Amino acid sequence: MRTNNIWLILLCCLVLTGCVKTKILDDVELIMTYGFDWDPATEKYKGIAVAPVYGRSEQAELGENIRYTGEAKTLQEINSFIQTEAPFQVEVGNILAILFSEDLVTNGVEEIIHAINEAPDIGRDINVAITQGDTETLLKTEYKMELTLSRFIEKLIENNSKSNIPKMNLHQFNYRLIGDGMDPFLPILEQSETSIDIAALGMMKDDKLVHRIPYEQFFIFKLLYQDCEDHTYEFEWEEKSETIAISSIRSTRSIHWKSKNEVVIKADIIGTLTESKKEGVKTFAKKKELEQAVSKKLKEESKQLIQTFQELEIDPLMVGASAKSKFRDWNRKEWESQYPEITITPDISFELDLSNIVQ
Amino acid sequence: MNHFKPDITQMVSPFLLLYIVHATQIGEGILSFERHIARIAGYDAWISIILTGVLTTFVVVIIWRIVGEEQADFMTIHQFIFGNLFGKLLTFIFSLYLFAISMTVLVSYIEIIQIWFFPDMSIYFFMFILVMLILYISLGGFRIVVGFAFFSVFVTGFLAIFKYKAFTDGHFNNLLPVFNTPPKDIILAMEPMSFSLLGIELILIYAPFIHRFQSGLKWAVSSNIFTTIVYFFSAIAIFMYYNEQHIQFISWPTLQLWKVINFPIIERFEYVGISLHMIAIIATSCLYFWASMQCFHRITTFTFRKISIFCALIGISSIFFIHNFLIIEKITLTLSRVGMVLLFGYIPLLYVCHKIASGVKKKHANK
Amino acid sequence: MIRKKFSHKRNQNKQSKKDVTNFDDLFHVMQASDDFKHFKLGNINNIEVFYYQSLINLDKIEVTLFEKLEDTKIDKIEVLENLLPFSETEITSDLTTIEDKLLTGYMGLKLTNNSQNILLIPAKFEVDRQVAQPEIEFSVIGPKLAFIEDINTNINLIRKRVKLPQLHVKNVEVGKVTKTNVAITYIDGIANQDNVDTIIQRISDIEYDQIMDSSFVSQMISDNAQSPFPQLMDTERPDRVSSALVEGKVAIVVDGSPHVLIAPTTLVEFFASYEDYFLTWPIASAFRIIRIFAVIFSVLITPMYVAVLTYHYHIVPGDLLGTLISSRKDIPFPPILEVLILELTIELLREAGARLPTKIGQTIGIVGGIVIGTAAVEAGLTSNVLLILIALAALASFTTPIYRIGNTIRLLRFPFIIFAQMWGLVGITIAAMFLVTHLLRLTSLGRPFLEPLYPPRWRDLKDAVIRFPFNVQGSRPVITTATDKHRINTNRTKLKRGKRK
Repeated sequence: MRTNNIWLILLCCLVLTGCVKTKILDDVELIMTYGFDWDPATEKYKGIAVAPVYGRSEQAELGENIRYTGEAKTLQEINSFIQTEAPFQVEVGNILAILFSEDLVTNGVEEIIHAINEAPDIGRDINVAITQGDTETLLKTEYKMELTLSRFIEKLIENNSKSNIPKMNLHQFNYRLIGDGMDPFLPILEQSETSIDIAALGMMKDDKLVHRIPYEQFFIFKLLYQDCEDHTYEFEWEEKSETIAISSIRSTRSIHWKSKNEVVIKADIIGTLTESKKEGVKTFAKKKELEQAVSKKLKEESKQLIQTFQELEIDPLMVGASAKSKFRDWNRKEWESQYPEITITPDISFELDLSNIVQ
Repeated sequence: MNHFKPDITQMVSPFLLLYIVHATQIGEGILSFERHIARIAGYDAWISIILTGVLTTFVVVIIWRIVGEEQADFMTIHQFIFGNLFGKLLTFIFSLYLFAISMTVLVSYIEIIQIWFFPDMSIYFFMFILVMLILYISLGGFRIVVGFAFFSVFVTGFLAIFKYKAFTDGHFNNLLPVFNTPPKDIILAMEPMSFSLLGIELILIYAPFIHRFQSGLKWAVSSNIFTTIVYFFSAIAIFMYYNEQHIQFISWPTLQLWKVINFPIIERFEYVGISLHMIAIIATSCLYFWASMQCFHRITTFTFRKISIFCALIGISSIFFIHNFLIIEKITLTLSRVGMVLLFGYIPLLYVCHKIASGVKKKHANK
Repeated sequence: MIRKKFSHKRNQNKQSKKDVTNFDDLFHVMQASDDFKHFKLGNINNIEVFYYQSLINLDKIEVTLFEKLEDTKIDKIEVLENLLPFSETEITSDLTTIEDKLLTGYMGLKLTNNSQNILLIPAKFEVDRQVAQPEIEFSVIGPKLAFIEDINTNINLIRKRVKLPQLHVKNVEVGKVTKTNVAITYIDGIANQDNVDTIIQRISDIEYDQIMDSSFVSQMISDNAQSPFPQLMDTERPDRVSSALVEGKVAIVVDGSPHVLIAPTTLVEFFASYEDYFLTWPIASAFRIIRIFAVIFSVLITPMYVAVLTYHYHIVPGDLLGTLISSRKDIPFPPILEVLILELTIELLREAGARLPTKIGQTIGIVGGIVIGTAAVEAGLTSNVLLILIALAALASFTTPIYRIGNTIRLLRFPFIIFAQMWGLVGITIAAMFLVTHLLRLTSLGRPFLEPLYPPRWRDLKDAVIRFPFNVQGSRPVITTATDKHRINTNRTKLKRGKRK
């Protein structure tokens, strides 16, 4: 008898079906890349949304994209503006990458980032990047690529995050943007003739772009920033006018505080010698010589990089956060005034553990 | 004292206290408590969790003392101490509180579902289905309610695994240096924390339904400790994953953490997680609902079935009045205050009163 | 007490046939049927013989009976009884007995001296098929015998396996018209007497005119008749029944049914094939886990498809997105309709296949599976991803060893699909919660149906999802509340250390 009632209720459900708006997979416009430009004239954000076009069967994968643009002061408004152009319902739940133009980042992204954070649809494991020039031109150009544009940008940033640059997804960006004693950084995408590539890392002070480090310094930065692996480093041995490549580098990084004004960033690197054109490493003495030369070179380069950071008063290496966890009386204001003066010493030791297959 | 003896088919083994207590404690709170405690005590708030855990363990022991060998429940004790009419009145207030919690838990979870899944959902109909479900479980009797709670613990256990992401991606530095918050703040943070550990007061109501109740103390205490550990690790995970400034921006840190988790077939775990966590919500709500109905049933002459259906209808209609997120927050806050007073004020007081009353009555009996 | 109840019922029957007060009246009623024969025998024609031709084995009778009675002169019926070389003869004047016996293949003899006493001689005409291989619960390894429609053969098959005088059989007759013989079988001293009494009580209380099969009994005595879940296990394997008897359960053998009911039972038992006991325990456990996984998969996969494609495009990973969108590009229906159409097609195929003779059934399966499936995809009515999922789900629903629960599982997914359409994944969770609650509320002979999962009983978990080896299963399942709890002395099953085996 009781169960009978329950089935009756289930029947009621049937009758009352359809109270929620559906988002059927093939009947929505899936925005996969969102680019934002700043229009100084109207003081509005200009959003460029890229959605993929899928073919009717797997064989006929088109790899084509549709672009929509909208201009407004808030993200939701941009979305509804875009809706006026799109045939299907615009959905932002599948965004893979968010791009900001250089202008926008120089002016500050905090507002738009908070708008993005407020949308529950948007994930946190998505890539954030800066584009050199307008995002509109970068996203509107037709490229010849196997993947759709959105997937291309996603894969480009994701695979480089494994080797060349540190990983920076939306969550990590937020973490650094909001947290004390740290500053975020973002990869800068550049439009080349036929494709897109990662040109530099943009260092930010709070939410504004202040500095960019080129490809040559990626390795040094990553070394000082986190433990890393699977990296290659090209070492120019000036004394012997020789170029050596070192690959499969594994490094461990740690911060040691000597006193309140003195800190050592220690990085131990283990690598494999792969391309040594003229001579191999055959004796212990030779090995030691090479190791010391590499360490010395890296130390110098690191010192330079850290100095730049201190001059710009930015802290992408999260030294401030480390100080905060070390000293009880840490406070933000004091730290910010102190930061340019403290001595940060990089202590880098390099060790070879394997040689290449060719003697 | 005239004792209440439930039907033997509705009684459960004391071992299941491990699940009942845990399921009552874990509800919507686990998704957001980190923010509340961190607001007051910063990232030393994990100490508050442990302290609250210890304190609630004492309350559990006190409850065991109150119930005693006779397996007296709340209603019996109230009437024993305060007399028939006043005792019934107190029980009535208490059951109103339980009923309010039962519905608030549901409504606040519907809020999450609205935000994440269906902003345009008809909450009245949704609430109707959920209350029907709760009614269906509750009318099965205590054994069914416990059975549901039993399965819900496995679901929350499964979901707890997914905090691993915070341990691999987080920064342990966030927690250092320890004891950097004034002790006063740590004590103050116990208030929002104790709302998360509420649920042990229900033992007073279902005590007669447990076989060999006295031997259940170890299970109830281990359950309370287990819940504390779950909260502790949850807080550590979230504190590692967000820094102190960041966490204040986030309403449900755990849900945001799930956003980052992906598998080859599931890109965004939060959608699965929210759906599964609803099982825990229903279990909590259902235990409270059952307890509340049991109180009403004991102090009135209505049958359990009638009073349940009546209250379910009230519960459904309550959503017409509490649909605003600010009201929900206000109610939650009030209930958490009441719960804390109940746990740490009223229950020890009741113990003292019970001691005195039984002493006096014994004397009278001897004369 | 039970007997009292029983005889009380008899009296009721008598009262309902008010017009039949003496043998002549009964004789009159029976004579109306053309296959009722009666004639007189003997020297002075004082022996009346009457029987139903369709129930009697005439060859057997003619040789012995007629020859002997040809020239005898008998005036007392007891003399006649001693004269005839038959066992199980009976002299009675009770009308109900006479009626019952005549209708179950007895021959009646009466002397024409106005005495109401009638001699009944068994001469049953047996038409039953031979004991054959099991068709539903077929196993590759192990015995290949199945029950047949005859109750005595079935009990014989059980007795052959359980050689104990304590194996008791209690006969109850049910069905006002069909008067079907139901045998409640149990091992005295192992089975809990409460269970036996409950079953006898419930079966004797059945008020229905016809009992054609054990499933009639099953539906009438189960705790919750409204539930889609069977609460009594029905099996056609004598080994399974014998094993259940030894565990302390009660078997119900119904005349005319090749399926024997076992009670009490639990949900997990429906997913245990008896073949599991013929395999070594790691393999058997793996198969059981696969079966349970298949069931969950079968119930949930199509609702998941509906939920994800209708509401949660977020959770589809990028690599899969292209495949899903491409496959659905041409389909004019929303996912719910697509799923319902295809599910209905599968159900139609299955139903048609089950109704048709074996050979045509196979053809239907092939035609339906290949032709309709491919054509539907090519015509753009369903997506090929869904076709794969539905086919897998249908396949998975047939892995259950007990046919009856397979039916339940096939139908179970429809409420899930409706809930998925309403609220996506949340809806599926709600449906799952309703299902779990329903299962929690179910009982089999008053014992929890979800045992040993809930209430958790570690002893029974040894033979639930995982089948542990025989030597650790030292006690009978808690669910049966067996009088004799211990199966074996576990101390003696342990390997003796330092000794060669």
